[in-house]
Amino acid sequence: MDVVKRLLWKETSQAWPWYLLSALAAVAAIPWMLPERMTGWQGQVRDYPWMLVSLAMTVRGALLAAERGRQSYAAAHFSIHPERMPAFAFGLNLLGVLLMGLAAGAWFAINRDPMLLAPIVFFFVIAFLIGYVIAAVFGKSYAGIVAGMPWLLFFYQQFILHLRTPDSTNVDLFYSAFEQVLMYSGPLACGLLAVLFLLLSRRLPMIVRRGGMALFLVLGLASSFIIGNLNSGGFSFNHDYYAIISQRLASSDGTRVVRFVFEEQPKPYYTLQFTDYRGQREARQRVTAPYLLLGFDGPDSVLLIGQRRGEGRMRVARWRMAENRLEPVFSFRIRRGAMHAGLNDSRVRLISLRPDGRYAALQFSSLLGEYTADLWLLDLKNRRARMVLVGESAASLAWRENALIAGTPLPKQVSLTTGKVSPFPIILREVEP
Amino acid sequence: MRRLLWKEWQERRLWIALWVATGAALTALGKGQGVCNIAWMDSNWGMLIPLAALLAGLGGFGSELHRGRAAFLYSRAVTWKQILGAKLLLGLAAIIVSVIASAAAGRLLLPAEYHQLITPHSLLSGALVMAGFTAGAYLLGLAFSTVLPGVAGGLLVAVGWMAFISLLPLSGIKEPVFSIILTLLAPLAAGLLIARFGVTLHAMARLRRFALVALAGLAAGVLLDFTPYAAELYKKLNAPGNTPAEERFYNVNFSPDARYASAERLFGNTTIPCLVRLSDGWFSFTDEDFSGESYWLANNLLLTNKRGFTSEGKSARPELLLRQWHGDELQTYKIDHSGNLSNEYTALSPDSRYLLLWGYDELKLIDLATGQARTLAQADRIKLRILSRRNPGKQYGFRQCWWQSNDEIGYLDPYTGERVLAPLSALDSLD
Amino acid sequence: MDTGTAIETHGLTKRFWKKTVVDGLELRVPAGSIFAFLGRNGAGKTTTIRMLFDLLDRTAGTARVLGLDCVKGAREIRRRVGYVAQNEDLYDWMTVERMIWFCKGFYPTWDDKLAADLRRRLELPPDTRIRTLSRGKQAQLALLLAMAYRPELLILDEPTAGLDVVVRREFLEGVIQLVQEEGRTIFFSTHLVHEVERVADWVGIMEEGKLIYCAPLEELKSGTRRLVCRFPAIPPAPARIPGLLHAEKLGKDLVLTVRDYNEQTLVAAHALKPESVEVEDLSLEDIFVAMVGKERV
Repeated sequence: MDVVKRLLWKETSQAWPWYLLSALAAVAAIPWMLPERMTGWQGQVRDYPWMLVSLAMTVRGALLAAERGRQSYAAAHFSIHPERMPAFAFGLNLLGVLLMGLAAGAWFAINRDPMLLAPIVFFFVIAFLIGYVIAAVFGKSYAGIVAGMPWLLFFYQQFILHLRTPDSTNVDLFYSAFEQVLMYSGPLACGLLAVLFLLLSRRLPMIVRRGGMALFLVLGLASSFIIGNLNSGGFSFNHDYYAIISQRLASSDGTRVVRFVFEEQPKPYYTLQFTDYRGQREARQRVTAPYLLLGFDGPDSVLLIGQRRGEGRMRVARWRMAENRLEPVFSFRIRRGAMHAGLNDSRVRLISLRPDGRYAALQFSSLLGEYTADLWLLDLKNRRARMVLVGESAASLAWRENALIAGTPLPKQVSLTTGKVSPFPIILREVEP
Repeated sequence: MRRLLWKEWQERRLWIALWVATGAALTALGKGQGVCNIAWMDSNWGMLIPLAALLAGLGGFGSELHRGRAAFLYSRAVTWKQILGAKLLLGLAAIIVSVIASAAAGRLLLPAEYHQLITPHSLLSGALVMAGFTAGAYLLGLAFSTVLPGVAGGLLVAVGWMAFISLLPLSGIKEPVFSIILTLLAPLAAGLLIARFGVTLHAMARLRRFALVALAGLAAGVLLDFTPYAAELYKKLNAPGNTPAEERFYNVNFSPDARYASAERLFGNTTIPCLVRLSDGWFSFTDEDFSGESYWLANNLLLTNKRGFTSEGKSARPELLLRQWHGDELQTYKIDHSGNLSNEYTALSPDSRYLLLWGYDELKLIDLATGQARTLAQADRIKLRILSRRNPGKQYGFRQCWWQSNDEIGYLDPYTGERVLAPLSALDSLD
Repeated sequence: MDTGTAIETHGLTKRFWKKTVVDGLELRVPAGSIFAFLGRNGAGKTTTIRMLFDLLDRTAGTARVLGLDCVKGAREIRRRVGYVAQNEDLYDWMTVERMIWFCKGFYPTWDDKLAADLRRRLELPPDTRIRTLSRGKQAQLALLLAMAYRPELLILDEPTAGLDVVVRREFLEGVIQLVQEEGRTIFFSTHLVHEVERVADWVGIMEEGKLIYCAPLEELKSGTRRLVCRFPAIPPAPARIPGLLHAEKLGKDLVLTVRDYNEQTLVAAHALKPESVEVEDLSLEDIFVAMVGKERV
């Protein structure tokens, strides 16, 4: 027992900088948990300083651990491998202090719903386990820190932010099982690769090892990000498919309906069905590109708009039910993936055909920022299209004789002939509620 | 100085290259977002660029302080100001190059339709924000390149930051700052650096230096952030791409001919639903909760589908609300239903007198003149369920209804799916 | 300040927390001399040198180098003084040529011709990375970097630590030759006393933070003697021997090390009534041990 005590004392007295570093890194993260206190504040902008401070400490800790790891210990002499202690200290502190922060967070009115706390506890336990197990397996403290770091770096922000905004939903909800596996395993795999790189390449100059490690960390993060956020053309076929096939277009009296026929297996074609209930007619058309239903432009025909994956054009087509013929109307240049943007698209996507069929308006997710959209005006007679609003999100579209009205927060009207945008103010008469 | 700069570059060129490459790569991956449009900062991707800058800074003093070269370098005829200056200059050069690389990548890669957004003003704002973030991160990295003082410095930054975000709401200042990192964190980190590296100073002298630099930087930053110019700039940064801070309406929903609109009006810190008759600006508040989806029908009827629960989570009866203006009055008709009716399944009669609504097990008719609703037909849910189980893949229930003419409706039989036509007058005898 | 003084300190003190490392140092290094700054490990030599070079802040006292205050005039001092630190760590990723180029930029008086000449004489290959050079060659490169700008004063802090005997000797002789040709001052600290004897003019001995002796080497050597007093039985305690530094009993012999040896010293030794008294010259190392050794008087 004496021996163990002495060894423990020796290791903790060596590992105290790690305790300090990890505790401070954890403490640095606590302000992230504070709820929004100010209106009009971009939450994520405010998070960056904190995130950077925490990151600075954790990254520095890992880099120092990598340097320190170069000292070799005769592991056989010690019953507790000396280099496991720093990893243990690091992981435990991070876990402990953050959980303490969560407990203290009740004072700051953080939502203590178990549904939200569970993911964060899960995350930190996993971070600790990864760190400790890897360190134990490889016998190097830095192995644990390095392996755990991509996990830490990516999910730190995600999980902490979820805690701070109680009405946000768990990020997993929108991803398929495969995507979730990829998202979580990406950082893990890259962390492991980084560790192997460090361990196997002892002869390489330190700068190459560090650079390589940084690269792996970046790749680890990237592998997770690729699943989600950026509006880069939609990587998930499933989301687009289900969004498209759930479309239904019906005339106001219910007599004519166009919809997509549901298929079990998503395949790169879709089957449209046009039903005239009054006239008891039906037509089906298989299309090889995803189409959105624009509207009826006559008793017997419907306009569609579609874009193939990877294509830099959008095509307007007309489907005539009597002949069951799909004929092209015109096409216009638009960025690739404008129509394919995953599930987010349904929040901003709007399609409207003027009742006389002369003009159409489309609103798709914009490249710029989340929840923003671009509005396109299509002149179907002259076969022209132009983007009239950029980066604004209209909740509705409406038509007047010479203008398209967009229900943006400060509503706008777009001239149908010139495409010029001007305000469409809603002026209220002040009346007592 | 040139030689010092060369030494710094040689020692950290990989990290600097990684930093610049990260900025350019992310801009490319973001299809041209970057300096050209700072909305990318909303994205998680944006975090990687300051991180790369931070890593570049972390190696900053490593070669001197960790490998014992400090004595060699400091014993040359060079001041610590020059040594630090070289490191900062390198960072500045990297910032400039990364901003330019990002702007160039953006200009090349942004789709043509977005080029209208690239104005000198937007480029300047984007460059300032990006430079601010990366400068702060680089300085942080430099300040933290030695462990214990770095950790102490980090704690200081932590405390300062917490104080700031706690006290700011109390100060009554409402305008948000546009570049926190540049104006707050950078001065702190800079002060730390300058205090640390006056090698022969006593502790008090170091503290004085830190206080001087940090406070001067903070003061400059606060002044910059809260001037009217900064507020203007912030507004411009937020449009287009992000919602401006002073919008008056949310969820503006125009009727098809834009004669009416439903919206939520910003009233202090809350929003109040209203219905507006655009011709004369007359609007009406509704007392009821607008927690439902509103849908304009062709004849300027607003149909709101109230869910079976309120926004507080309490259960409520599912209702459909029909609203239309009659002269100066807003008529609201409430329609109870079993829970399966929605805006999606409606059919307006050709003469706009009646509205058909149907759901899985229910078919309703509404007289639009009087608001009276009656159930035309109802199907047995249990029977429908049994049929569904017996014949998977086949659909049951009221799937489609339509107006065959002004007096005749058609529907698909809920049990057999066969087409049924029924005159309106005969429908009392249905069921 | 005397223009003939290269380094001058008054009451120079350095305390690290409670430990006093340099205690009221009063040092004068004459210009143009080769001054050996001797002391045991931990005597405070390196600390003193660092304070002279403003690499360490002082607790009390003043220090002037070439007439300039060592804090206010630090930059000017560094331009005019060459400094080779103990176990100096150079940027090992640079090549010899690059390192020379790098250092050249800091000194307006840098002499390219001299640097090239030195490089040739010291046989330093220009394109070799420093990390691949031996310790000896690295030390020589450090010396080149300190000398190429013709400093008026050269400060060497344990420059030969870790070098083998042959290299050490060559290094020192090379330094002396190069610098003395131009009448410059050399101030070097070492604990390897024997190598100083061949080259130094002046000696300063530091012990526990204090300067216990400072004078020309010849004076020290000529004034210090060993007296071996033989007694028939156990020798008595040495009392009233002027200038006694060290006394040791070896069987029936009493060995006395005295400084400022003169007739009076001999008389005092005879007063102890030995059978015989032998007077011996001492090496610098013996003198040093006697002055700083544990059993000194």
